[in-house]
Amino acid sequence: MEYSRWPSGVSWKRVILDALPENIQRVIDGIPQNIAESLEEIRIREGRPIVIHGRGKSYYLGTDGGLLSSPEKAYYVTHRDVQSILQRISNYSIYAVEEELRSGYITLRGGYRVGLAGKAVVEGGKIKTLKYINSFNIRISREIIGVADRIMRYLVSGTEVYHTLVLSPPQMGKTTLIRDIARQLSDGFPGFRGIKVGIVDERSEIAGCFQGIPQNNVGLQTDVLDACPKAEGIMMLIRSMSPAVIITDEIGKPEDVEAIEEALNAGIKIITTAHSSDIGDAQRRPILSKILDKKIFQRIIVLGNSLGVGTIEKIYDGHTLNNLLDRPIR
Amino acid sequence: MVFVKILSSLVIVMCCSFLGLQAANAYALRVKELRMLRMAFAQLESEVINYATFLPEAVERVAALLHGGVKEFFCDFSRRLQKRSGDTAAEAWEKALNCWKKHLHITMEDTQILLTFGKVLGVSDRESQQRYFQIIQSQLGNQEQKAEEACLKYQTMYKNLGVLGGLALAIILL
Repeated sequence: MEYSRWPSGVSWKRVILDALPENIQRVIDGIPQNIAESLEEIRIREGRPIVIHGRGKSYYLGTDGGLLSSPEKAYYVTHRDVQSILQRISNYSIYAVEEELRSGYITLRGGYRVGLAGKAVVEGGKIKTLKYINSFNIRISREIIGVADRIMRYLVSGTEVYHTLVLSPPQMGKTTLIRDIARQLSDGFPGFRGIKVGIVDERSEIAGCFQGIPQNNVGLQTDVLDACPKAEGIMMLIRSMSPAVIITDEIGKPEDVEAIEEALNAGIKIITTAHSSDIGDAQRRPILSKILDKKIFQRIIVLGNSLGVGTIEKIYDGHTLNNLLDRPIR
Repeated sequence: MVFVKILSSLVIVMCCSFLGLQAANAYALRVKELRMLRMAFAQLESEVINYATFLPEAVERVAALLHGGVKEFFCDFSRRLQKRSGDTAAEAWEKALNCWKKHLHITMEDTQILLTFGKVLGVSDRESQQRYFQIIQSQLGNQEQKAEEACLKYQTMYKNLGVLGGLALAIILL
C-alpha cells in the first residue's frame, strides 16, 4: 500500500499554499513536519483563529505556525485574508465557479476540496449562490493506492463483477476504498482483466477532478462525470459511455434507486456507498431498506475502525447475508 | 549671417509644427485607444459570459487580439494575475493601469472609468458580470463620442497652431 503522490505526506503544501495569501502561507508553512504529515483539515474563519485538525486532535496556529492550545496568541484571520483566499481559490473568477458555490465547495488542483460557508442566496426555494463567504474548510484528502487489494477477490467472480454496496459511518474511508476499487477494476489485477468503468462523481471526491481532469488515479479505462447529479449521471453514462461498471458515492435519494434499477436492467454492475454503521442500521432507513429488500447488491462491505480507520469489518453475501470474513481486515 | 537666420527660422517652424502635430495626434490616438478598449471588453465579455474562462486566461486571450499600449496593459494585468503575487484582481488591475496609463492617450476621466470597472471584474456571478460589461461599454461609448468631437474640434486647430506659432516665433526672432 502506498500514498501515491504524497510520499512524505506534506506535498499538499504546494497546492494549498498557492490558494492562501502570503501571511497565512507563512502560518501554514510553519506547521511542524510531524503534524503536517497527518493533517486532515485546515479551518479558516474570518475574525477567528486558524484551527487545524489531524489524528483526532485540533490546534490553534500562531503567526509562525506554532501549535497553540489556547486562542489568545493565535493568528486571527482578517477580512482581507478571506477576500484574497476567495479570489485565489476561484482563480479570480467567481463567475466560473457559480456551480461550485451553489454546492458549497471548490475543488483545487490535486483534488483537494475547500468547503465554504457564508450567507445563502435563495431563489424559488433553491440556493442560487453563496455570499459573504467567511469560512473555509480545506480538506486534505490522501489517495491510498492498493487499499482495496485484500478485498478485490470478494468483489469479482471470474470475469463478473458483483453489485457492491459499501456501508460506513462518515470519515471511515469509503471514498478512498471505492476510488481504489475503480482503479483496480479499470486497470485489472492478477486474475482479472481491466474493464470499462464509469464514475458519477457528484461531489468531486472520488476522482477529485480539476477542470474536468481526474487528479486521483482512478484507472486507465475510467470515464468520470464530474459534479453531476447521481441519478442523471448514471443515465447519461448508460446512454453514452457503455461502461461495464458504474461507481458512485453516497446514494440516498429515491431517484438514485430508480437510476440503479435502470443500470441493472441495462446489464451494468453498480458499486456504491451509503452512510450507515451496519446492515441493521441501514435497514432502519427508508431508502436503503428498500434497496436491501430488493436484494440488488451481491456484496455488502461494512467499514469501521476496530483496527483503525478504514478497517473492513465485514463483507456480506447480499443474498444470504452471511459474513464472508473470519475477522476484520485492514 | 542671412543663411544662419533662414536656417534657424526653418528649424523653429519645423519644431513648432511637430509639437502641433503631436498635440493633434493625441486626440486621434485617444479615439483609437477607446475603440480598442471597447473591442477588448466585448471579447472579454464573451470569454467570461459564454465560456466562463478563468480571468487570467481570458485576459491573455483578449490581449493576443490587441496591439499597442492597450495590449501591453492587458498583458501586464494577465501576468500579474498568473504570478499570484497576493494582490486581488482589483489591485492587479489598478497597478497595471497605473503602470501603462502614461503610454496611453486616455484622459483622467477615462482612467477613472477603467479603475471602477477593475473593482468589479471577476468578483461576482455571470449575471452581474454581464451588467458590468454593459455599463463599461456604454460609458466608453460616451467617452469615445466625446473624444471624436474633441478630435474634430482641436485636431486641425493644434496642427495650424503649430505651424502658425512657429512662423510667428521665427518672424519675431528675425
